[in-house]
Amino acid sequence: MIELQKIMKIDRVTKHFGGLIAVNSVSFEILKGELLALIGPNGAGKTTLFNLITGVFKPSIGKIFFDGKEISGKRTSQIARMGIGRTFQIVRPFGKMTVLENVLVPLGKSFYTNLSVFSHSPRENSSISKAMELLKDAYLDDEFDKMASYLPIGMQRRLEIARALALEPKLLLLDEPAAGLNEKESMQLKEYIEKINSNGISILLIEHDMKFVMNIAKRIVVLDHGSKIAEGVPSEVASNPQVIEAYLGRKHKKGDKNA
Amino acid sequence: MGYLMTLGIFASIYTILAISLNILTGYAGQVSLGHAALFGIGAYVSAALTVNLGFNYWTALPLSILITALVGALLGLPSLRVHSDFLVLVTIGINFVVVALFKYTPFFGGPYGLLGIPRPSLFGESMNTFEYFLYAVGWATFTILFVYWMSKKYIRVAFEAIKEDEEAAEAMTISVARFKIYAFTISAAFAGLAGNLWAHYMGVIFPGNFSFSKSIEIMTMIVLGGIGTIRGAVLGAVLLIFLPEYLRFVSDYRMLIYGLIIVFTMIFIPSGLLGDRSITWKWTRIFKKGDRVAKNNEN
Repeated sequence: MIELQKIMKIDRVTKHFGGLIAVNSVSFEILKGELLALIGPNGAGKTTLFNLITGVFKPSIGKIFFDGKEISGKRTSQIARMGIGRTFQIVRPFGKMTVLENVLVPLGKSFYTNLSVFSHSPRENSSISKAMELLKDAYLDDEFDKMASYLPIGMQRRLEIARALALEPKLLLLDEPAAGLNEKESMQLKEYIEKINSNGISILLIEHDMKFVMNIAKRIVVLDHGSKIAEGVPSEVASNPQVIEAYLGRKHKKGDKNA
Repeated sequence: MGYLMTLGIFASIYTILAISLNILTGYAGQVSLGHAALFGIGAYVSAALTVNLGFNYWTALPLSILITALVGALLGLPSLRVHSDFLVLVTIGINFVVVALFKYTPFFGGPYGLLGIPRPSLFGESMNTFEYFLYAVGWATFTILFVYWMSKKYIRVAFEAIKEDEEAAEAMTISVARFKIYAFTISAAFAGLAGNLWAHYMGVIFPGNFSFSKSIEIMTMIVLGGIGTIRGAVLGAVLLIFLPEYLRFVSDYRMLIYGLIIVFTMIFIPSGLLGDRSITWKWTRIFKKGDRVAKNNEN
């Protein structure tokens, strides 16, 4: 069997908050170029796991490796610089900046660690044309001079992804990108995500919308109560009795979107 | 004429102060109501170096800027732990502590302050008021140009990002801690310069010169002029130096007026007189074709 190369390895990661175990000894791997979805009912620990990967929290036990290097315990900005881009569950573009300025922020990546931050201007033609290219891929080039906070939610989501892509990440983490989108916006987003993935960027996707996940993910990891209960291709996972129990047992609560 | 010159010197010093607070609060979003502490440190360090330790002014000048910048970096450390309203309280506390240190340290002259601070000398002769006016205006101009230049670089982008959303900024590889310390350090350096210019013009300084009410005064300047802009800081400083002098009856009620200015600006013109989104500033630009500010207006 061919050993597939992995971009990220989550190794028995546990996180408690006081007495609460939010993530319980979870292990899985993300392969290079893969689109892996992380699903689970509300409160399963998906966003906590995201925050552990991006360095917002430190694992209580366990280690996280990215591209062969351990990243657990590093600062968020360092982890981002190593090549992990992310979006937020509740969109967080820089609201008072224009769409273009939002994408110019990450293009300063190589200046933020040293004094060249005083000598380089974001208004150089090369950065602007690069930013415009990224906006074009996100179908946002017509909106470049609008304030980010004025955009509808679907566009803000794509702007966040474009902004993360400007870091030239090897791995992109998307936290519920389809939440609150209508059918058309959701389709547009799916197309955009598939295009990114086909360019060789690995993607870890947290999603609540099962239809969206089944359509797009090549492989799925299921969390429930902080533990991994299943892992596999969509059809396998969908017929797994434990997964069905975890989801159906709570179906009447599905209106709640706080997971 | 000498009186006008003195006002010009004050306006220059306060321009530098207002711009320095604007770097911290307007650009980086770290609201400080203790900025007078840094102003005071610049003044006291330079005064103590020249009066107590016999340093030459031209040596004391860079030292006072450098020391104030270092203290500023230290004072920035709390901002890594506390945010917004809590940071405001911390900076107010720092202001009182610094003033108390001046007051109770004999080296700094205690409550009587430091006297006999020399004017800088040029070609062996100490500057007269006119020369000092030019000197202060020169520094104010330098400050404006330096900060304008800085505002076109990536440092400003990083400040803007941490001001808007710290978590998103971190995700964009911007170390929030690093840039907060940068903001405090740069801001303090200019406040130190202003302090130096103040001490060596007045010739005497007291702890009371750098009290909390002075911090409010500086904040009023940038709020009135338009927070986040250099032009706003300059206008605010010049207005608040010259107006009370011409409206004599006002100067007895300074603090009352400052308070009212803050209240009314915040309610009716939150971007100040010349802020990016203020009506007055838009008027001046609305006729410029293709201007982004004017266009955003329509939304």
